[in-house]
Amino acid sequence: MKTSSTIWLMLLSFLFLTACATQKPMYSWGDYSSSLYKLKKDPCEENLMKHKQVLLKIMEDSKENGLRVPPGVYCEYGYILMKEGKSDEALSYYDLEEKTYPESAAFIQRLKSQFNKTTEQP
Amino acid sequence: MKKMKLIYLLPLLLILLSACGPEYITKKDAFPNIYEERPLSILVLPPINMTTAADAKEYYATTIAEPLSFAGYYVYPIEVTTDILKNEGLYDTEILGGLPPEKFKQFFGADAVMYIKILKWNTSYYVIGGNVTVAVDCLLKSTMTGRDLWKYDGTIVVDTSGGSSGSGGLAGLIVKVIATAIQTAATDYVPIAKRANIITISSMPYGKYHPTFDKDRDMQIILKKKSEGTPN
Repeated sequence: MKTSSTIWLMLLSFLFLTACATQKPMYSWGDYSSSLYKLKKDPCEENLMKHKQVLLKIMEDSKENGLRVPPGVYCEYGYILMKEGKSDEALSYYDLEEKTYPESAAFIQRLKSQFNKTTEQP
Repeated sequence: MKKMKLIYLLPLLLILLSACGPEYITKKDAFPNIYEERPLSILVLPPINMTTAADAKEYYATTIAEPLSFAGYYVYPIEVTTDILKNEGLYDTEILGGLPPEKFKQFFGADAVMYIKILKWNTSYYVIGGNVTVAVDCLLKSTMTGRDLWKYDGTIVVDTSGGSSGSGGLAGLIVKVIATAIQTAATDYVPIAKRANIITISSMPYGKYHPTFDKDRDMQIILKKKSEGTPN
């Protein structure tokens, strides 16, 4: 009797532990903070390219693992593209941000209106 | 059947854990306002740097979005929002601190705004990692009512020491899960800031994107008195 309850307990605790361990992470942030830190420390073209690659990798990994792309990643990538003059591509990433996170709508609108303002000026 | 047994075990475990060690408080009792307002989006303002390390402000800002997102909130892209604030002449943290929180609702649509202070060494609320100490003071304010929703100022912390003594509690367990989830190879500075953020943010009630959103009201966090000799 005693041994059977011990076995029960062990089984239960095992279940409990594995339940936690196999819990899917909510997001895949990759090397985000590391590459961003390097970019801040030395804002050269090479580090910017690396950070862009990290952002793209986050999007790919998220897709592969069926995760939502972390908040702000689409938008940050779009913002970099915008600075590079690739406005069409940039706007499509802004749209992705808004689609993924509807609460970003007001903010995305602001970003887009800023872009419109700059393009209206000769 | 298995579930039933677990249900019996959990409260027992809780009682056992709370019986020893420091005083506990539920998240709901500690931060009632956030459960009333249920903010979804958070705007992180550029931190106020009170240390002598010139790059602390910039490097700290690179680490905060991750843990906030894991807590279930929408975090505006800090790189982008900081740029916008700069363009508006609002990068100066003193000016930012003086603005009514409602402004950020108008400007970004944010439900809440996060004020962060990077403190000096040797304050009561520090997190030690290797030889570097990172200390932060966080305050989340509502942009709708201007009320304080959540804060971390050394009076409320989640004990993450965990393990053998049992003082880690459930919160500690969750912190460990998050910690493993975000572990990446990084530079020397980043993991320390990350660890500080995890400990800081683990007392924060979960947001809408977290799987246990709204089910953490009774989660126990540790209520700790400010330790002696605090300079601030």
